[in-house]
Amino acid sequence: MNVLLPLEESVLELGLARLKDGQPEFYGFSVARDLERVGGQRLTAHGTLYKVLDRLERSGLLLSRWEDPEEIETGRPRRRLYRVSDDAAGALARSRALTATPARTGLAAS
Amino acid sequence: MTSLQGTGSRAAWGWCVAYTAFAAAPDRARRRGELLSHLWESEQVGIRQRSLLGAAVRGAGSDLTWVLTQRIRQARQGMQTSTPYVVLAALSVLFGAFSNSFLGEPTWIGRVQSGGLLTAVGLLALALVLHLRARHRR
Repeated sequence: MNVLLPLEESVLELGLARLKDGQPEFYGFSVARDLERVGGQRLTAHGTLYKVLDRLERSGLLLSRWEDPEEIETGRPRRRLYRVSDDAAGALARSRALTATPARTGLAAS
Repeated sequence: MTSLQGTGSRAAWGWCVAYTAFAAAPDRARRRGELLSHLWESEQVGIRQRSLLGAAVRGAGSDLTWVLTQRIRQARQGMQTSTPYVVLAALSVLFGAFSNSFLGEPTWIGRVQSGGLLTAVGLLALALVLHLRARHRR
């Protein structure tokens, strides 16, 4: 996976920010809320968000687990918790470098 | 079954149950679990039901491509094992025998041997290769 989709980049960025803040784990709903807050976007489409999380995990950039029963407050469905892997920062930097290169878009030639 | 209250979140949940019905069991359980949690939390913080329904509708295309991708991946993994080729080999022999006998060929055995049997041998050889490769990897 070289060039990431904009939403994939945003998810990794949020994950890395959480890691830096000492709260590495996040979940689908928290990502949707953060994207809404940071980007001022409307609510991310469910299908798009979970497909992106799935893709990032299959690419080895995210790790996930089900929340432990002891962590769950009464009545709340358990969350699928994600955190960025060690490869995430590198992949994000590579993707940004590739999308920022003018030659890739053909602008350098003109 | 769900603790969802609003019309939008219930509709989004209904859609999730519908499309995940076509996914493999582990993928289905995971996606349903994640979406139930998402919708429940959305209701708790007071996200409008219309927005929830909108988010489900806008993601419907991704949901469908997700199911399709999972299925294709699963089928591809299945074709890397010997089982489907053994089954196909048996079916090709049966199909050859069946069709030739209905066509009224007096020498149907000969035709099966030259057609279906040859295919079956090829398929069994492929199954053997895949089986040995899988054993080697283990």
